[in-house]
Amino acid sequence: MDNRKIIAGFELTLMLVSLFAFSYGVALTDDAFGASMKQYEDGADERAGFFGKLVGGIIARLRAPMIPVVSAAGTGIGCCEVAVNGEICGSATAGNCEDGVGFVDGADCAATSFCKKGCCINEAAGTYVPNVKESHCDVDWVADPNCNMPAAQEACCIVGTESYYETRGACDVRGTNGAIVEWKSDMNVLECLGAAETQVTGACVTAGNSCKFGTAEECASLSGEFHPDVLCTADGLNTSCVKTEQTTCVDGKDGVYFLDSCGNAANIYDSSKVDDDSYWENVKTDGLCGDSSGSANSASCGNCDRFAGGICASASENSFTVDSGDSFCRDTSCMFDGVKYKPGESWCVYDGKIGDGDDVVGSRHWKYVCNQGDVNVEPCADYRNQICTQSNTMDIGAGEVDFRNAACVANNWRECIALNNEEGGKEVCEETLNCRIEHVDIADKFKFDICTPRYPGGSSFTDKRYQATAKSTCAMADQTCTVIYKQTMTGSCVCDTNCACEESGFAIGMNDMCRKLGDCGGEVNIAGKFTENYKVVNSPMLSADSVSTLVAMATAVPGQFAEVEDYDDYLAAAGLFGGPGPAPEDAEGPADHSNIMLGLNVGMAGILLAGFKLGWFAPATLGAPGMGAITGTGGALAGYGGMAASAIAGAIGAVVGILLAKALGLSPVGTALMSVGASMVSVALIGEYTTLVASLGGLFWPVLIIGIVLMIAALFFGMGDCDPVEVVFTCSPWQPPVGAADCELCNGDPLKPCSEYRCKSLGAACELLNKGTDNELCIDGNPNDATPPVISPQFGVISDNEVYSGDSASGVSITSVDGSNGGCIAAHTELLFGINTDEPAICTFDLAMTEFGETSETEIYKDDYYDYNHTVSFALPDPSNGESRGLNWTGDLKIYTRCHDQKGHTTPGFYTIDLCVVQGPDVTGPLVKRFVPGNDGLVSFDATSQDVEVYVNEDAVDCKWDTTDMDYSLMENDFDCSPNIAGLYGSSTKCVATMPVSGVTSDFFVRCEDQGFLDAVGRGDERNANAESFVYRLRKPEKKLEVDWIEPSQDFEVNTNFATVDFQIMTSGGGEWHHCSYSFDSFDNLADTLFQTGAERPHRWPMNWRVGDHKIYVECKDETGDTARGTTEFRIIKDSSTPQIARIWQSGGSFNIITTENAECKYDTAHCRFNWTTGQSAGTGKEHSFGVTRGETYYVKCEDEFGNVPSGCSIEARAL
Amino acid sequence: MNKKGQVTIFIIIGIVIVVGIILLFMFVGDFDVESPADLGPQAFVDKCVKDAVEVSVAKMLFNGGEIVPSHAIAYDGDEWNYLCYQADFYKGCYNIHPMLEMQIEAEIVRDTQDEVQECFNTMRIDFEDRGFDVGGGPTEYSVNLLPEMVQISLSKRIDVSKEGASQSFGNFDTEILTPIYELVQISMDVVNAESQYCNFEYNGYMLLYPKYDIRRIDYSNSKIYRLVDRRSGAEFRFAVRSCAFAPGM
Repeated sequence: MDNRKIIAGFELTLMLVSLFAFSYGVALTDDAFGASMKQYEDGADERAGFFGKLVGGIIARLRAPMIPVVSAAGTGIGCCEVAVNGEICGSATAGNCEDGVGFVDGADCAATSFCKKGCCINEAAGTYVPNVKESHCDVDWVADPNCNMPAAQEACCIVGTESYYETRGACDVRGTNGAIVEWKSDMNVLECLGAAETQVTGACVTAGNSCKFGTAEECASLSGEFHPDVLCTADGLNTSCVKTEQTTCVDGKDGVYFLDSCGNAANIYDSSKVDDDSYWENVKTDGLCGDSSGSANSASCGNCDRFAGGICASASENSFTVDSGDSFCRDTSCMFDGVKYKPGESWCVYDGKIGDGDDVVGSRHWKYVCNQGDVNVEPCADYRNQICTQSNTMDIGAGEVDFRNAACVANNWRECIALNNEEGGKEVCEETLNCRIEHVDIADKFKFDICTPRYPGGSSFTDKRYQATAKSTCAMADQTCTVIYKQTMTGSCVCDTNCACEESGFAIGMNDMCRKLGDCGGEVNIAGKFTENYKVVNSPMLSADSVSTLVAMATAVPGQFAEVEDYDDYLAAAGLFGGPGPAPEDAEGPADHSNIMLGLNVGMAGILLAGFKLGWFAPATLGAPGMGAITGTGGALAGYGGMAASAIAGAIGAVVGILLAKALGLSPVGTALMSVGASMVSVALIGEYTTLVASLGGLFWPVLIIGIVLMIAALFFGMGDCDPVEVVFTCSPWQPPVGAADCELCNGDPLKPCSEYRCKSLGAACELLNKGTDNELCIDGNPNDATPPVISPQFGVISDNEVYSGDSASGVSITSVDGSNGGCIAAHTELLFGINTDEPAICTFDLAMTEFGETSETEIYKDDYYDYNHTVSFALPDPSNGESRGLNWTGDLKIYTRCHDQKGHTTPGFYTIDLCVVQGPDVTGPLVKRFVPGNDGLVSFDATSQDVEVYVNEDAVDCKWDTTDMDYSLMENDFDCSPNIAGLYGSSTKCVATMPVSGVTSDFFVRCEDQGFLDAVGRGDERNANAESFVYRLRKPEKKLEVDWIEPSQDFEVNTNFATVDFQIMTSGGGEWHHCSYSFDSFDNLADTLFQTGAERPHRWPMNWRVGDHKIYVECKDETGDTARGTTEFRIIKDSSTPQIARIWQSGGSFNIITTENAECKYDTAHCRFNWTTGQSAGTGKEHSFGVTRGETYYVKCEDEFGNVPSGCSIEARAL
Repeated sequence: MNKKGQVTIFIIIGIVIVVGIILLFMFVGDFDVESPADLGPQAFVDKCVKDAVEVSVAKMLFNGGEIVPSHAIAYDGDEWNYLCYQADFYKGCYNIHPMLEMQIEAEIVRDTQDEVQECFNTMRIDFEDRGFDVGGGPTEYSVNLLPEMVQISLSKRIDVSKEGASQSFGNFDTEILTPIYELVQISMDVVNAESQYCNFEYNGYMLLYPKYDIRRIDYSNSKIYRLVDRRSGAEFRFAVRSCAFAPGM
């Protein structure tokens, strides 16, 4: 195969593949996230598994500022025809939409009538433009965004020695200025590329011995005599044209050609043939000079080949010396990093290690292209929204050849993150392109899998909207590992479970998980600068070696590139999103060793006592531990008659000892000693001072003393608990290093242009200068800054009933507006306050004086980004909760604030925010903040019960519900309230219950009672129950969701390779919002091509489907999670046959033709390549007729209504 | 005859000729040296109209097909007209100038029709200054983008007369050579691909069609395109916002 064709074919194929890949990737990104958002909304019942729960909340938080999701019902976001900012057909709120223009809440613009895309047609010009809004089209518009119509199909238009792949109408335009054009409808783009070169050319001798070299058609138009494959300088022609030493480039051709004296291009330039007359006779195609490099930079040969490395160019303009003329084959290959690249080759360049989640912050993927000798850069989308993939070989059918080709393709990192919220997501993750499973395996009970992107996406350091979502994404790696300790027999504590969490591997493993989610955690930038952005409590931070490993990732790995993936597999695999992997086993709580040991000790005490009393041991009773052993011991003693009373006395002593040991928190050994000692003391004292049992006589004092000694000794065995240790990892969004020392690293490399993301990653103080020019520079944004930020209250921001007072340089007070209770603020108040800084800063708010970088358990809030405004909201504690429990809780609060600016200048002291919370007994009932599902929410049509969550604003709360309104104490149904979220700050309670649902509506009455801890101290009567019920309603749909019909449902014909189909699904019943998805594969793989159509019925979507058989699986789901399914099967048939001549005959002076189908026929007497517009009409329909002249040959072409026309003649006939 | 005599005769003849000419001017007065047929208004209009259209074509190339960009992004100190735009992230753009070729033709006419009329006015004043009576009919003016040229169709009946001699002119059609047609076709290929596939593989395109140099700059969620005809250096500039990515989740 011709090398040039191979390369061109490959380029085209790759181009198409990359286009498809990109568009698919984008579509997937969009829809996939839409799908995940919706599935999350669909309810907690679908979320299962560790990560389902873990990520659920995160995803919910991501929802609002996310990609405009079609199912934005209720959010007020929809399709706006014209927004107030002039944007057309974008997502906006109704308020941001111009008055009087189209707006549909929750709709995608493609599905609205006013923003629907279609095809804009100018038939005369052969222009068919896809994706046009009707109001933008001044000519004909049809509702087919893909312009699937015969006249819009492109094919080959040959004009002289050049060819164009375009519509027939456009081809005809080329003929309007007299050029001879030929339309070949059955040629693909590759065939068309080489079609012009196959045109026969030759000398066209005209009057006066003039000569013009060209095609036969061109010669015919000049009324000349055509001599195919003969040059104008040929001796036999006797033209005025003679050979010269001049050379020229020819449009549409690569080579350098000799020029004759008439200005005609002759044969390929070959300096050795200048004086060779035979070289000036005929067109030469064989035995030409040249080499495998396309004659690049050859002074003597002009047989250029742009694919091999040379293309015709001016020698003088390129300062190149040639043997003759002024043209040469300019070298179009490129050198980069010591590697030679062929023309058209492209390759990937990276800023550091890539893949496996290791792409560093600020990095970008770059596609470099060898373009006519120059290396050009094509940056993939910033924030790693695109990745650069590369292949080094191409398959040309007969084998593989070396040819590098790169493409920027969409990075579906968002989908990988979203998969964590889906059931079965682990399996999907493994099959999803560029997603990977991160196996977090740190300790025996702290191991799990999470789906992370192979190439994590970046996030803006300046856009607040994306800062917030980055924080949520990073927070997926906020994890707590509970390390369980157990007591030894001696009372000391040894680690039992998750011990590895307290070792260095915890920080390494968790930080890996953290940074692989995106720009999170301890990570380096493109300059190799590390910043922490993570916290570890109760375990070591990253070691210097670990940091060094991360720093090394900022260096590109030679030879590494992302391979081009099989997008077919991707299509098949993508779609069903689910949560990764099996949920880790719940960490077992500490084994209740105390109970076991307690029983054993008591049993032993009884045995010892009995044996001691009897003077022998009773080993037979050892079989049953615990209190059962006591019983056994007692039974054994009973067998010994009078000794039973002594045994009972000993047992009583043992029990007292055990209770005492428990109260003192003794270890098992301590408890045993205490129980035995107490039983001995008991027997001795009761025997000595009562008549209940026999006196020990002379043994009284020894027994008593030994007993007391044992009890005292017991006090030395374990006075403490083996509390579990919570090892906490907090993952925060990545922050650039303070200062501006590295800003310049972003500048100076034209093949790696700087960008906002890249620049800001290099330093917190770096700023991009000359934005929006071709000279963007990254510089120190504030070179004169040498002072720390100055803090002041954020006077405009304070909760309604509070006010700032006593403002000074060192702090401010917050008091209640009414000044009651000494200005103290009511407990449980959601206090909103903030500070301003005079320059962007990061601030911390802490109840203790904690320095930056120190781990603090009393931290209230810390900024994740530099800002001027620092606003904090937190629920004030209720001191009575602590006071009621005898704890030293006080209502006085001091919040210590400290800030540092982008240069690292830290405020010299703490800025203190003083406030106090009202102390005293709590006399008000708790407040229900939220129900899940929400009040008046819809539940499944088939539901008979519904799990309901209630969130209450206080801790230690109990809640009840009933179907009628009544006093709290009378309500019969309890909520199961979680253990209190103990602590001073932000206390709240989550209670759950399962409620019966029946009928269309179900009403429930909910009341709660606070301060549950008072029960334990006998002050339950001080608890406060709600005097009024919270009314909670659940609804069911009146009819179950159903798919009524799906269209298309029957076969249909088209005349193009693709058909724009108005895919429709009619649903009924269910909730208000029906979201349908479809698949070509099965119901198990629905989400890969998902669309959502909201409340409109039927659900319509214009689809672009290839001809062939189709079976579509459809599943629709409503907001209750109910689903309905349906399928449709049909075939799209393409009519691509050209009209055939069924019969032709001559009748007198006319030809009569019958075609096999309705067609328009035209004829010419010169050749088949006549211009359709200038051809003579033979009529339309199936019968055609035209007058003929005897002896003349007629070339006839017929075209059917679909535009099918043969590339040659339909028939040639000679009139008789 | 001696030489002095000859010289004297020549001098006398010369004096007689000069005096004769002076007398002719003095007693005969003005006389015409031109007739309407000699005026050649086509050449005048041709140059004048071409100059105007060439400037307008340059504007079209620079402003993405409009006299003044209607919806543009500022980059490098210039306004780059959007030919395809989508406000949302991740979605393909709307082709907002589908009939770009027709639009440019209309824009050129709108931009130059006053100047074209002024060409005729200037010509009329010039002719009138030279003593001609000039009359005319309405102007019919259109331009047509064609391969490698802009065809200018200009019809206006011009009647020029003087002292009984008259001449009429009507056809002032002309053309200018420019690759704007080809560049517009390429831009439509770019826009169609961007709207359908979110990308245009311009490096592959350049490999197939090396006579064009296509440059793309990604800036602020938009793509700045420059289509250059290597031979003439003509450059068509425009912007596209399609399938933009958000800088984060």
